[in-house]
Amino acid sequence: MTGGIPPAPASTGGGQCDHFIAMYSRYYDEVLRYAWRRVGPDYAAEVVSETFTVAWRRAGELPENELPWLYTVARNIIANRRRADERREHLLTALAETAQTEPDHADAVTRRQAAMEALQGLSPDDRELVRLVAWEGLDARGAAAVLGCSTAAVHVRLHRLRKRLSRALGPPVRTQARR
Amino acid sequence: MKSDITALRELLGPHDPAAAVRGDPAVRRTTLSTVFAAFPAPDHTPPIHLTAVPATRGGSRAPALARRMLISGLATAAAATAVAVLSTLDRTATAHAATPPPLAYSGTGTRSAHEALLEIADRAARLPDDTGTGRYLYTRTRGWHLGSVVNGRSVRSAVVPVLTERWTAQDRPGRIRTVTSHPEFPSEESRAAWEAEGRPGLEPQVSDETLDLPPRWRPGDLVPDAERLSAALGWAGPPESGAAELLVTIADLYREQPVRPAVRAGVLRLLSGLADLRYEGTVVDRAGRPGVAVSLESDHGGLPNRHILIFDGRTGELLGEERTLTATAGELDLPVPSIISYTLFLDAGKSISPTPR
Repeated sequence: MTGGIPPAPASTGGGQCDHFIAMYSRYYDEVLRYAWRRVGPDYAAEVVSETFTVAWRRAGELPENELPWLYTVARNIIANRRRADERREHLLTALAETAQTEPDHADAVTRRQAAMEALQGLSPDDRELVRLVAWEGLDARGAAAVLGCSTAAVHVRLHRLRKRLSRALGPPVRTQARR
Repeated sequence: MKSDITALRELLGPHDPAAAVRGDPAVRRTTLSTVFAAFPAPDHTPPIHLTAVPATRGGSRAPALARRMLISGLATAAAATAVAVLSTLDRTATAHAATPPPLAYSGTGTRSAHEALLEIADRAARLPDDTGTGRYLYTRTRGWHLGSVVNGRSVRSAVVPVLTERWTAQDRPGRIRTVTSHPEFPSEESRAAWEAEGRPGLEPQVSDETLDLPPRWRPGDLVPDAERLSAALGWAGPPESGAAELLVTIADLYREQPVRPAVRAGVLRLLSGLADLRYEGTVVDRAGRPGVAVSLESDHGGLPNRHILIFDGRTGELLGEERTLTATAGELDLPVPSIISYTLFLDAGKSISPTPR
């Protein structure tokens, strides 16, 4: 497993089960969106199921900050799936076509396409880092936990990525802020 | 000047393809069932040995056990590792974990557990069915265990019990609702540690979820005859099933459903047959109710522990379950003896809807 997330205090028995259900309830949608952004709508639910299956197996070891840990598990599951790799080239384009988060006027479509292409032009690790902070809403520490690197390294990479993407995409679009 | 993260969110946030995605409720329920069916209980491989995350569904595991874990929360499989897993608790903490005070038992060892239980069984067998009517089996319990997690953070500095209500039905989804109680401080040291952690006024944390799994036991399958009851409960007796597993099974049964008096009597007779059961005497439980306690010492769970069941001497109902570390705390930083878990069985009955009684 990547990442230096420390082992968690354990819980046991009925409390452990109840805690897991509460965590499942709290983070299901977050993990679903994470998977959706990476494997698309057709396979996102499968990734979610496998992620929480692993989480249940490891219920005695869940860290205090559970969401980055769940993202790490989901990330590994996705990485382990060959068919996900086979689809990867077409995925970002497909996502750009299916996204319905704002009115589909021509300018918005063009900007979205440009954003997807800019993301596709990044290395896999850089792309993951950008998505973690921009879409999953993690801070540098949380992203570092998912990626298995230091927070300082994340800050350096974020600064470089900001400059690169700002150049590629121009000024940000003034639309409704993300959730 | 805005941060790099803020700038990246402004650049890419509007293009999030999943911003409006929400999980379908039916898929959520099905997925939860799948998760529990895949593994009956958590696998407590030490984290140091965790080098890869397998994306497997473990199809060979028994769904019945998964169901049991989900409904009861204290399956035999989990109980077998319950104490061992506690050794993964944060050992960097300087103070002992807060644990509840022990109960005061009187008359310990003055009679045989066998005799005491049969006496209660005879009394229970004469009572009319008081479990009510309705398709839902409802229970309300209040429990605590070492290693509780609240708000995603482990709680070692205070005892924070959790109130759990469960509704299960054979033919439709059930419900499980939990609410955390106010923190309790067994010592001034524990109160100071709690305050140092910045948790003075813990707001109740509520979780309310749908359960798509039926009860593990159909009430109609449970009969007073001890032999048939044993089979229906799935407890085969030693050596195939350990004696300690019977105590776990009985607590699971009460955690899941109301038990009619005739079956309570059967349960007590079955329990009275255990050779090593000890009479702990009379006790006032943590809810202030008088009861009669019996115990079994075992290493069921990884470390030597005493498993106590407390019954209502008039009705035969199970009032409480307690586990105490006895001989050694292993790697746990705890004095011996220490309570490591308890459950109070507060209410049970059939219900026509999955709403509080």
